[in-house]
Amino acid sequence: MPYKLSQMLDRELKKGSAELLILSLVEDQPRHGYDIGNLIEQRSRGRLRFNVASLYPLLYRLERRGWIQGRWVEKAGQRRRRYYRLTAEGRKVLAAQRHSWQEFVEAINRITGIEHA
Amino acid sequence: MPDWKEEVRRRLSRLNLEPAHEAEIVEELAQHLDDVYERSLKAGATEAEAKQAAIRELAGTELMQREMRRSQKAAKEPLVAGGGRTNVLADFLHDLRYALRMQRKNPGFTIIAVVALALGIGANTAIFSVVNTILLQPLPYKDPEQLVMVWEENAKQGYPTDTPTAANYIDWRDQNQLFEGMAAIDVASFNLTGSGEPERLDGRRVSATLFPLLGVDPQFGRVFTAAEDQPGAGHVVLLSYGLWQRRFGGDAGIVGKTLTLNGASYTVVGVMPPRFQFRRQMMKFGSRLLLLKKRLPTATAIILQFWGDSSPA
Repeated sequence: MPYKLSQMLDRELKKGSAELLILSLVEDQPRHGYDIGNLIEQRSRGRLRFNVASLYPLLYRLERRGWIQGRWVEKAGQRRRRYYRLTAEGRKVLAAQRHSWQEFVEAINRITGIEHA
Repeated sequence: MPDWKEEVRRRLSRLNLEPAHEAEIVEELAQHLDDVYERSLKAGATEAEAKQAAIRELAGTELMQREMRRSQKAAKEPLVAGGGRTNVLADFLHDLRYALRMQRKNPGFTIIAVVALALGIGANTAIFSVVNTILLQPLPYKDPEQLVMVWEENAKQGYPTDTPTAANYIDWRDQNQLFEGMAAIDVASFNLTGSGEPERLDGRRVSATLFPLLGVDPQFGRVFTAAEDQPGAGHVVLLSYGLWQRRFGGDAGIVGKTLTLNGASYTVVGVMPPRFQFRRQMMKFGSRLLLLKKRLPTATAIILQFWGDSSPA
């Protein structure tokens, strides 16, 4: 695959999965933006990375849809930070997106033969 | 540490976000850049390199601006599902819920607002009732527009509409060529004794000509006769419907019975209809009924009145 095409595919995959990634990361506990960005980078071993200009618009979009909710939290000896938690609606969306993603990956795998490789 | 807030604010300036909203975004993004900067320093980067790393985080600001614009726009749109600009009902319900939440949040303000509204509505209702009775509803008499009230002019003593003397009334009545008839009335109180608890009653002494002028007939019995207006005639009385009901239990045989009023004996000649009122209608502005408030030496007819209900007016 030419390099440019690969880059485009990467970008589209990242875009397509970004919502699922964020929703998954706030599923168990509320997290602030820096924490979310860090976890994405760490857990993908540097393969996926969102900078401030791309991460926060996503967070605000999810919040606008009512899937996550941000709240300023002050902890002793620390600056106040905005923590995002999953809403009930967000939980439903996460389950649906997980299912879709799984089906999509399986379908791609079946076609590309990765599963049998 | 560099001032990231200024850096972020500069990039958001074109969006014209609401100040409070912008301040929150600036704070949040600046914190993130602080963290990136510190992480870079800890990883061994120089200050310049760390600053570069943080600045890189803001690359692609166009996407951020686009998303912020949407976010701002969404904040101004109705929050109700399916709510569009034309969804009046949804808007209304949203407003209603908001109003209820605010009321619950500020009970003191709510109480003041409710009391103010209640007083306003009550006052309006009271005023309208009076205006309706006095100005809008016609007098419940025959040809009310033909009735006039005549006063004596006594401005020198400070009474531009003074009550005429009995002698003047008699002169007017005898020399009258203008009116179909004239009647006189006087306010009086009576002590009712002799049957049950003694009671103080408000009443009117009236001339026998009053009822034919008003065109009002009694519920039963009769009104006063001209003969009863003459000196020496026996005392007669008409009862209001309310008094008849309350004091005499609606006694159908009341006509012909005698009552003791102010120690004198009065024969009941009739009972007036339930709706019959005199004084209140007489208060109608510009009211037009001939009225004399001096006691006539010849007046021996009395009407007792307890307008509208059983309680004394």
